[in-house]
Amino acid sequence: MSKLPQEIIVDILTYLPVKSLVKFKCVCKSWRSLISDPQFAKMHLKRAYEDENINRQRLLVATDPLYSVDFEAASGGDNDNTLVELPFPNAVNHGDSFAVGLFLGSCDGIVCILNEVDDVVLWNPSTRESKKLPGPSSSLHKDFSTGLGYDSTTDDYKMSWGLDGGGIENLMKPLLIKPHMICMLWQAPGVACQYLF
Amino acid sequence: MSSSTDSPTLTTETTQLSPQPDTETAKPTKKITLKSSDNQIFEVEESVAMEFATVKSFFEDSPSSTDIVPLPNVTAKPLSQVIEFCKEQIKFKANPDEAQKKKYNAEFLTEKSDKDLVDMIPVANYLEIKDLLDVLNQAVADRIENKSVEYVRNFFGIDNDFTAEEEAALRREHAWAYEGVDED
Repeated sequence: MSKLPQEIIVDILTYLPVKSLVKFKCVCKSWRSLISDPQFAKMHLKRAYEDENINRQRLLVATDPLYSVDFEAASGGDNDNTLVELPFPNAVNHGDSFAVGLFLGSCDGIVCILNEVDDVVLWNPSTRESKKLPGPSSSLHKDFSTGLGYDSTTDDYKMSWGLDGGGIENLMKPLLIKPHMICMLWQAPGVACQYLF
Repeated sequence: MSSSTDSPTLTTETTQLSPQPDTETAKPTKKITLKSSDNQIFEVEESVAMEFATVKSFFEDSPSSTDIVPLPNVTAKPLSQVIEFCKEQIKFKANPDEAQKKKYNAEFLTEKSDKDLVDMIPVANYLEIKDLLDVLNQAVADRIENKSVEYVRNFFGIDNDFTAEEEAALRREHAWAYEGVDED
């Protein structure tokens, strides 16, 4: 069989789901470096967004336990991955329940959570990595609207928050993460979220 | 298109076929002659050859060339499969039918062995046939997605350069990713 050049191997790997990539980190050292490379994570994300044959859109269902659901489950979807149970992110680990906390936003498969002691936590449910961030100086509370977004000018992810105004206050509240609530759409999980931190 | 052109024309240099008349236009279709690294001659219609960016630029650089286009590093078997694929894609270009195209592509890929698929990749890469390269790379990804690490090493001919301890540590760290692996 032909030995494939490195750029072809990279291209093949961008088609794989995150779980396979995590598994294949132990194929050899060069694969581990490649799969852990933030540039590769970006290529993988780009592929997931642009390739119409790849469906990585999932809903996070904030129940206890946590689940993710194939976005296209209702129209068939991928049977093997229709419903996947997720462990609570380590960095949110506060007691054994996820029930108290605020969902602050999500972007490119990264979920941002405020736990009950006001730590801001970034979580990549696909790689199961999570990390606490230095929180904002003033307490984020339910009267703030928040969001997580990607800033292409600085190539960085940013969280924003602001005080709700007037009559639409109720609509603008950040969603409370509590049982039996479908709280967000998350798309195209990136592989390595360490470059976000 | 006449039925005689449905499969790649594979001949030796001494028994080259003369161009077949095109039944629809009643004009001889221009043929391009390609030569694989193992000295097989392929006559393909110009429209098919122009799908190969590498061949296209060969003629753009020397428009009046009537030479045989040599394709070093491309052997006959994967080349014939690549030509077969591109011929079909030309038909879909003329008569777009996404459902039929998907069906054809899926069947084309499914019936190929792992070796055939992997051997076609460098050919598609060298000839710069992006659509084919994309479907081949995705097909390879689909074949290894749920396989074991050992299977993948064997598939690509990769030597394991981790120590037993290093590999065990990686597997412990991401134990969840090793669940639900298909049999080799």
